Amino acid sequence: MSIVAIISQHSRESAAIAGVAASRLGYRLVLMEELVKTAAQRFQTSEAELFQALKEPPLIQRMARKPKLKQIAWLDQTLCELMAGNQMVFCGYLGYPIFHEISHVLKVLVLAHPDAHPTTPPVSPGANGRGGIRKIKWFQRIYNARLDDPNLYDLTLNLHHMSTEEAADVVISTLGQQRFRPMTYSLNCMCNLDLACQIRTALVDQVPDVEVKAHDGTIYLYSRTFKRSKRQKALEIKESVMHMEGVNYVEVCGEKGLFDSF
Amino acid sequence: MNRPEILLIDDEPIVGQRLKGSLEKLGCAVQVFQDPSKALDRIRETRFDIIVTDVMMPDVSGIQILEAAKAVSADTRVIIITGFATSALARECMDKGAFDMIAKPFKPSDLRTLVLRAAKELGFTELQETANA
Repeated sequence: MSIVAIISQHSRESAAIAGVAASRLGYRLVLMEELVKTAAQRFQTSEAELFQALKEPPLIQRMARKPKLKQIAWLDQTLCELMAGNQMVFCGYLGYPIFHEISHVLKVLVLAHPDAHPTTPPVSPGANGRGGIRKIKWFQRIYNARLDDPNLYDLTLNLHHMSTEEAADVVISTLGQQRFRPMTYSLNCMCNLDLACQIRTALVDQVPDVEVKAHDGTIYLYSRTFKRSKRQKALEIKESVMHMEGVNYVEVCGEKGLFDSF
Repeated sequence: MNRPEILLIDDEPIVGQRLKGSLEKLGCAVQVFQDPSKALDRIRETRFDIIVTDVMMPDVSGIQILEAAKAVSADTRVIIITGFATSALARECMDKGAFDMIAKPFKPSDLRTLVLRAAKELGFTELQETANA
């Protein structure tokens, strides 16, 4: 169940690399369009609204509005479901924190010179210009990280220096390293993330800023609303999560520092 | 029946006690060490089929055990068990040739599944998981 996540502001170039790599590896190719389509079907919502959630960055850092948080929660959950049991090459700019938690995911950053492939017309005007800048801003405000920071990735490919085919070769050869082989620990991490995403989706309407961690059935929840003054609400949320499948115990945290320590 | 030789290393006595019985029921011959330095000496004297080791131990780490085991016999399957699992540690262990890694706490049956898989890879096909093991 090896997974490659190609993350880039340059959707055309990175999708081309993902396509070649997936085809050569025999893995499932998942582009943002497919992720959105699957999530729209899964959660009975419109693709246009999900695309909109991915298009417009929140105005303030980590302060997206409730509908957008819900749509991102749906997309994250769909991504986890697509990963489960699949060998997959994903290409997009969503799900970075999920990929970061799974040791066997090969995370690839694609850098492309604006004129890297002058013969290939852009899919839409501004696809790699203003659109790219908007993706960087979106990533920054949702994940509080720079999309093009090489430190976040295992591999950085600069298309100024190589072709799509060569880039795919590098991805495939890097994936052959032992560190990207799935193991019990990383597969358990995937299950934990899947459960955490399910719970976040279930709670996001009531607690838009909820953060969820899962570890073998123990669930840790954090929200600013779980401070002492709203103890009753925290208890109600705890009770509702306790009844969810796969949950053995729920710990509710009103302090971010405590939540981060788990 | 040909039985796989297993070395189990954990500085917490309770872990060794619990897992030894569980793996013996599977049909394995199990030696347990709490002192990783002594375990390291044993690895250099005897070839084990499977080594199960903790990581954070005094004086000698599980990573050193893994490196020593692979240096003595590349065929030895090393399973890492740790209460301090991280992505970075998982990657380091896999790079150094670990067979698998599992985070503590885990159920004895989880480890038995891994040991069974490792044993079958080594040709011990007669071992079988039993419901009451």
